Amino acid sequence: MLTVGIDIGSITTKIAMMDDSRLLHTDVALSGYDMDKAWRDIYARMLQSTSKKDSDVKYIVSTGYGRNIVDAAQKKITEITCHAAGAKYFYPKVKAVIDIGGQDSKFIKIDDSGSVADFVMNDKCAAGTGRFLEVMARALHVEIKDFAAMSNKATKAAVISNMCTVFAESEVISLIAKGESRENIIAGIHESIASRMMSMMNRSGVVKPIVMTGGVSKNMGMRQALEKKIGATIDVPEQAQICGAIGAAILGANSK
Amino acid sequence: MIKMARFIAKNPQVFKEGIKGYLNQPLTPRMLQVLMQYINQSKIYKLMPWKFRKFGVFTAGFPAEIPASMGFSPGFPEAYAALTATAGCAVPPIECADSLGYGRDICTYMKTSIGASYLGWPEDFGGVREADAYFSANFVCDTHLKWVENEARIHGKPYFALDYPSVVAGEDESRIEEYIDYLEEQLWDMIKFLEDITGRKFDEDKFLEIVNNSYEICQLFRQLNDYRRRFPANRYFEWVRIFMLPMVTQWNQKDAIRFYKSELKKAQKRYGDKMEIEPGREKYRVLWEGITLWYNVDLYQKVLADKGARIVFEPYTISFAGRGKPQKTMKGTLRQVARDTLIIPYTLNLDRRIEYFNKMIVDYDLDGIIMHENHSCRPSSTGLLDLRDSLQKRWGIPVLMMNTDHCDPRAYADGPMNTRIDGFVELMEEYTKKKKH
Repeated sequence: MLTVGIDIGSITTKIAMMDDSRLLHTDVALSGYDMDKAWRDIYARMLQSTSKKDSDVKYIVSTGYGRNIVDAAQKKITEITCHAAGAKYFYPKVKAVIDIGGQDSKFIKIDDSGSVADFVMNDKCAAGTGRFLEVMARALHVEIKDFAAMSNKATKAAVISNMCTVFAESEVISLIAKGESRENIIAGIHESIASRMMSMMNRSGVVKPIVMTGGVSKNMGMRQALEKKIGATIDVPEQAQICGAIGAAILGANSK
Repeated sequence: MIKMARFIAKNPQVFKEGIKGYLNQPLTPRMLQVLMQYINQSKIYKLMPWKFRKFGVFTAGFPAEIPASMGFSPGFPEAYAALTATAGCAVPPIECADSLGYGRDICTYMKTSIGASYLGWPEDFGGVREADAYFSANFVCDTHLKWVENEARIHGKPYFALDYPSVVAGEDESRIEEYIDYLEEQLWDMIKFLEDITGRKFDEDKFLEIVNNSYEICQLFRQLNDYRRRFPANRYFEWVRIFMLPMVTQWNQKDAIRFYKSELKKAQKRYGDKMEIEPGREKYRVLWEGITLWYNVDLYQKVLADKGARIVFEPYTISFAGRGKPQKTMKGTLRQVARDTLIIPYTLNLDRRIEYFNKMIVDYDLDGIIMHENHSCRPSSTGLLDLRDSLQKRWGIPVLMMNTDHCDPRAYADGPMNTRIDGFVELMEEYTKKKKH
């Protein structure tokens, strides 16, 4: 049975098509201003590239911040449950998921039956999210994709003490003015996010094994900073960014 | 009236929004009458040609029975601020307080009150008119002390503060008795203070009558509260908004007794002695811990309700219903008042709080708990994580920590909050399935 998961995040829209437990197709596009158009375009592209018809799709589940605008979805499920289902698809033994997305970060605990047992999210603040990294990348004139490689060259992580994205940006600019290297600043940014994430995880209690999902998981430097804080390795599926959409498609198959 | 006319002339839009906000609440005409009576009592007092009665400003939970027996009608700035937030008009006074230099971390009850008074707004919109004396106590809230002290200083009026010991952990009865000794001594001091500022001898008979009325009000409220398991659970906002107001404010005890008796009669007629929960009536039965989001009636009536989640109980309201029976002697009654105000659900130590919640989970057949981590009220928010951990460990019950504010709508963002609420509902869906098995 063909099921589709559509995950509309603040920065990107992701789609996954599954035939029972077989992953057939994934795609990512920018959400932009018109999220409705974004999911319709990516959905049409999916049908075209898989040579399927709309009527072949038996169930659609939407997730993410824009989940309520997907009028074609039979069910709307939060990204909390979807990321847990997606992580479990790749790592059946997973007990916790770290999902750092564009505008929020989450720590999701999974119970023995595979259901979400508890979750914590960042407060109303962009620090500790993908948006924070974007702002810092702009201040440093560096592409986000280069963050991981540059942080690996750091000699000593700079201290970013501010808890607010805007003030942290000022702090970074001050560090640049003092002559601190970009590599050290980037390593400091990763440490700062990892510290915030760790405090959040401690609120719920850290359990292992941990899987990391969301767009920020592509940043190896970020993952290493988190591993250092937690004192354990973190698994990152190849399709980490699309985990929410994959989870949605899986939950669609279960709902049918 | 002049103050109100001036306010309307200066702020026509706020007035229009406020009236819309007041009318948008789920209130019966009798409830609206109770609300208006309370709001207008200090205005009416000011219009009276005689001065037998006085107007006192009190902080929530203060043993107002003592000043009331010397003729002080109570006004509670927190209640005015809550009413203002419910009417959707708290932001301008909070911004005004911000511009006066009151920090972001200060309680928004205080900031609404200070800002509205500074702007010359009437009580309906958070302002507090000049009182004859000011009274505060620091139990649960530390802001009370300096807030009311400042108000008294601004107006050059007498001020009396009660210092409550914190019941923090594991105190045995002998330690509680010591605390009561300490409080009793202060209550005698307050009587002396009242005699000094009024030039009259303390009226003990009146005091005992008022304490007895308080006791009756609380008893009626508790009996009514016992019907919470039977009442349709869509009445949460009415409950915190109106049902508790006469009990908390104590401004017209006779009217409060009439009000509760008539509500109780209605409940008895409808449900008889049946107090048990109707199975299947609510999809998800939720306990709300902490102060209500006064500005967000939609959260309770729409956002949660649309997902089948209903608030069926909150420890907040019942916290104010703890007044005991007056004793035979003045000393005994003062000690009773001290004990009743010292030990309430919000001053319980963690172990007793956990015990209390364990009981509520069973008594109200709860499917979830929302804990309000209130920016404005750190004392009541501290320890919530420990409470949550303990309840989740024992029951596996979903708990949503809602990080926002009771009076300032700017602390509540619909988008991120809706994801948390939806996630919480998904957890409850799983939990109720497991509960059935």
